[in-house]
Parts: sequence; C-alpha cells; structure tokens
Amino acid sequence: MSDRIDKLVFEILKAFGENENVAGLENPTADTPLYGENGLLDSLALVSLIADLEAAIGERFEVEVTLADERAMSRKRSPFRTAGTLAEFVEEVVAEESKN
Amino acid sequence: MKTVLITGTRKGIGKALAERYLERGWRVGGCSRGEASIEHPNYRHFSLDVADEKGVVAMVRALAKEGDGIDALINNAGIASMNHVLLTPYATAKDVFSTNVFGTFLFCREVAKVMRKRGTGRIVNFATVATPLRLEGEAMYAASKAAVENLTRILAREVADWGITVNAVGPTPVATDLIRGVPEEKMKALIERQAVRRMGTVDDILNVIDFFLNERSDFVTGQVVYLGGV
Repeated sequence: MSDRIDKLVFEILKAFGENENVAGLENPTADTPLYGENGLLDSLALVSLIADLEAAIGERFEVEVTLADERAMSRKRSPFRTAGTLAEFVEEVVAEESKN
Repeated sequence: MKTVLITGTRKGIGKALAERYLERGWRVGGCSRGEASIEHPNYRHFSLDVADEKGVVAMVRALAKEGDGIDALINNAGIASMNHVLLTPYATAKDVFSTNVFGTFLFCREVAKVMRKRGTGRIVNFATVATPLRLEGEAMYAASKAAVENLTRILAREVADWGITVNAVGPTPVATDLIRGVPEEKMKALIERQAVRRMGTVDDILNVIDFFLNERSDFVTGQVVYLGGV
C-alpha cells in the first residue's frame, strides 16, 4: 500500500508541476522542497495541490480523506515541507481512514 | 445537464428551490437530517447533518463524480433560535452555529475544491435581514448569519482566481417552519421596518439566486443582497 501511495503522490506532484508550470517539479524526489523554506509552491498552489491529491486518493483508493486536518495544521514540522514528508503524511492519513 | 447542490431540502425554502431547479431540468443533489421528501429521477438525496465533516465530504465527492462536477451550491440549510440572550441555552447557541456557520463552511470548502478544477462555479449562501436590523430575540441567529456574511466576502476573494463567485441572499421572513414560533405582532413590527412591507416569497429569493447564478454574473462576487429594502 505504501508504495502505491508514494507512487501516486509523486505522479500527482509531477502532473501538478506540468499543469501549473512549477519549475523544479519535473522529477520530484523525497527531498524536493514543496512549502516553506525554499519551497516551490506558494500558499495558493499548495491549496490546489492538496485538493488534487484528495481527489486522486478518493479515485484510486476509494477513501475520502481531508488532508488539511488538525494533525497537519498543528504539527511543529509541517507535513507539506517536502515531497517525502507529504507522501509519509498521506500514507498515515489513508491508513487511519481505511481503519474506520 | 447542470448540477446544483442545495442543502436543507426536506422542507421550506430549500425544498421549493430544489423543485424549481428540477422543473428547469437541472440535476439536484439535496440533503437533510431525515429522509427525502422529493421524488424525481434527477434528484439525489443524502441524509446527513451539514456539520458532519465526513458526511459532507462524501456527499460532495459522490455528487461530483456521478455527474459532470457541480455548477452551483446553495447553502440554504439553517436553524433559528428566537429567544432573549439571557434565556438562550448554550447547547442551542452551539447548534445554531454548527448548522448555520460550520455547515455552510464545510459545503463551501468541499464544493470549491470540485469547482476549482473547471475554473467556474457559483456559491450562494443564506444571510438574513435579522443581522442588519439587529432584531431583538434573534441574537444568536443574527450573529451566526453575520459570520456567514463575512465568510462569504472573504471566501469570494480566496476563490476568485478559480472563476468561482460567492454571494449571499438575505431574505425577509417567508412563511416557513423557521418562523412558525414568532408571535404575529412581532412579525408585523418586523415587516414595518422593511421598505417594501410584505412577507417574502420563495420567488423573491429565487430571483436573487438566478441573478447570482447567471453566467453573465461572473463579475459579481462577495455581495450580500437583502430583500424587502432592508
């Protein structure tokens, strides 16, 4: 499952980079900075990316998740820092949601 | 076929609006805490509490997936509390805010995510004349709708780049369950404060919504239109 989620996150990041013309997202790796220090995305782009990811997760895994939840927003270190931390966070949320 | 999501469609204004849009050939997704009271091939009902996040997320995504997205959202669901502040239970105050503010917020948030992809969309929230008239006995109701007005105005700015407009209609009293408990003389006094002194109708509200939903109204956003000349 975790491999499939990783794959999906990177796929969406790449597609997002192409659609929104975000330089640096052509070949995202775990270390690619997304939001915050040296991040490639501004706040509006992050909003769009999160919405794209939520929709893609719903389609691919048939679980409806909200990524901008309390867990994400209250963390000292934002899960939206890099592609790697984002993928980890998505795995966590999907695992949690699949339990319910 | 265009799709409109209307909240609170079991009775009152929400039901009447749903029926009008069905007559016009729209696909209508509606919701209420109870079962559906509308039967129509183009009507899809969801039983949920508008302040239940999971229920709202599931409804919006299901409706968007079944058709070709969502063209319009009408956040009609609302509850009132007609009471002196000193006699208003905390639980009631929380219920009013849950439905009116948090319910409206959740639907705005989820539907805007769906509309964003198509680069167009119309959101209409429900305000009330009780807010500008500072109606005594309606403090929590008017306060919740004041919150809806500000949500409307700020959201309008936040989603403008995606071609989504967000406006609100502020009805005067309309003969529905919402105002059933209001004494007649109170209602008379309230109507006396309007420029046009009569009860409102569903058509009055529909007329404003039609304007907001019109394709040509893409330059109209963040506005609150009160009826009756308030």
